[in-house]
Amino acid sequence: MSHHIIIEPGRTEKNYWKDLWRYRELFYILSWRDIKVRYKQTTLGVLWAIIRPLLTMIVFTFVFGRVANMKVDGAAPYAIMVFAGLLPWQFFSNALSESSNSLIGNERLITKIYFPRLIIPVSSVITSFIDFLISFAILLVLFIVYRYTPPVEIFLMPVFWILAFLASFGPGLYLTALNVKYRDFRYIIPFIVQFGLFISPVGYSSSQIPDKWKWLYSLNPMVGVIDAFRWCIVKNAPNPMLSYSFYVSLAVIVFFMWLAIYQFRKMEKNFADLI
Amino acid sequence: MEKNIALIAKNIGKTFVITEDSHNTVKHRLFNLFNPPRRKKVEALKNVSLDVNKGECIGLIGRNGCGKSTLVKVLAGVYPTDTGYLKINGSTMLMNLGVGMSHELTARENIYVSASVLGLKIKEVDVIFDKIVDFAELKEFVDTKIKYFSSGMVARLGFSIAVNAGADIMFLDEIFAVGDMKFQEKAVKVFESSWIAGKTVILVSHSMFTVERYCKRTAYMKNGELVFFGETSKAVELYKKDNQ
Repeated sequence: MSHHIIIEPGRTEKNYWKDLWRYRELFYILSWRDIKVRYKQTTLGVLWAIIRPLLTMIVFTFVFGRVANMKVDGAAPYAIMVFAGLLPWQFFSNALSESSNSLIGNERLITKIYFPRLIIPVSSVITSFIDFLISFAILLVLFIVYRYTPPVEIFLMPVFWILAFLASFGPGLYLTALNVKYRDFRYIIPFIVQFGLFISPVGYSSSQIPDKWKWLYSLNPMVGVIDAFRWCIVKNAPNPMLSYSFYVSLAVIVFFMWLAIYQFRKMEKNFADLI
Repeated sequence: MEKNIALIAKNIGKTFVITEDSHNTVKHRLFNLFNPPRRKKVEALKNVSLDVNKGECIGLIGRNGCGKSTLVKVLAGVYPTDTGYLKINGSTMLMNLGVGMSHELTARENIYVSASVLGLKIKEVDVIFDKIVDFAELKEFVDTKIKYFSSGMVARLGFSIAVNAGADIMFLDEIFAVGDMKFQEKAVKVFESSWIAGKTVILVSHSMFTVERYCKRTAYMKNGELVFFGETSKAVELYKKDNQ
């Protein structure tokens, strides 16, 4: 376990990525700890990962499907369509709120030990990702309840899981860094999450948006992700990759990832001072 | 680069920017929206240079607020430096008790988390796991959540993890105040047997007795500056003189 560390103001970039690799097991350990701690002292434990989206789905199906009478784009029960959008959305919103608080919550680690700080927020995104995979099980139950056979595209699902991960990773990391310096974000993030729910096609299908506003709508990275999820789960749903708006979302995802890593690296050096 | 040098620091400087919050009420804040809190600069370290050989035990003394802890944190890589150059040969560990522990987790789980944070691989933790538990004298409580532990037990666990995890260069910041008398004796014994022999130790202490006993060379800091670095007896003498 021999290694050298050179600390100078400025050039540490190369060492940083090396350190990140050296500490790779910490990703696992910290996410594991978060999951363990999260469900301690709850009676239902991990079941909460299933109950929360289930309840939201019921409300949404009722409000949007029954009361507002919106249409499914394709052939599937409204509940399944809602759920296909709700899963990635809840992952995104959890990842955002959990990761943005992660550094402040681990203040003692940051002020006492050196390790690449990036590991902390990324671990909380991973934690939310595991929750997300668990809640995927409900989808299977819904298939059985509705006697619904998903299209073949469902086998492409893992690809879009990764896309959902990347889409949550960027904004999550960016907000994490900002939240250390400007604690105002603690109050802004719940608002972003709440507002985002309505500007994302969660309770309704994105075909409800008029074509001339599609480009603006797609600036929300989750639009592309949710559309892709729907395509995999809802029969005869339009293929998002045939529409330019998917690529707008994709570009936004990539942009956020670049912005997040760049900003995080820039601000990271001062985390120990600021926190 | 010489082989037997553990640590070289050249002209290290570190300044903290502190915002002085004079507007404590909302009203004050609103009226002074365009007059943000004043910033104050605190120079915690000024041009500190030192080098430590491998296997050496170095003392670090000085009054409260003279920059000892900041220096240790900079040397351990927690804080970035503002100026200067720092080269560290080998792994470092700032001896911190109970870092990364969660009260909702059991002792077993905490050992894995805490040791990983200190830079160990999971497999390495597997190997020293029993040693950690035995040393902390917590065998019956391995699977108990540490929120049910007494504070002494938590401290012992933290100490044991840090001791057994070990690193090439250890920074010890007043660590001999852990646990009851029996445990302290044990801690000192471990310190003498394993760290003094072969490991590089930087010992921060207010106990002149400890410093004089273990350290050949000692650094004396005053107001963020390294006033003296050399023979321990001289450093202690200077420190005592300044305190009169």
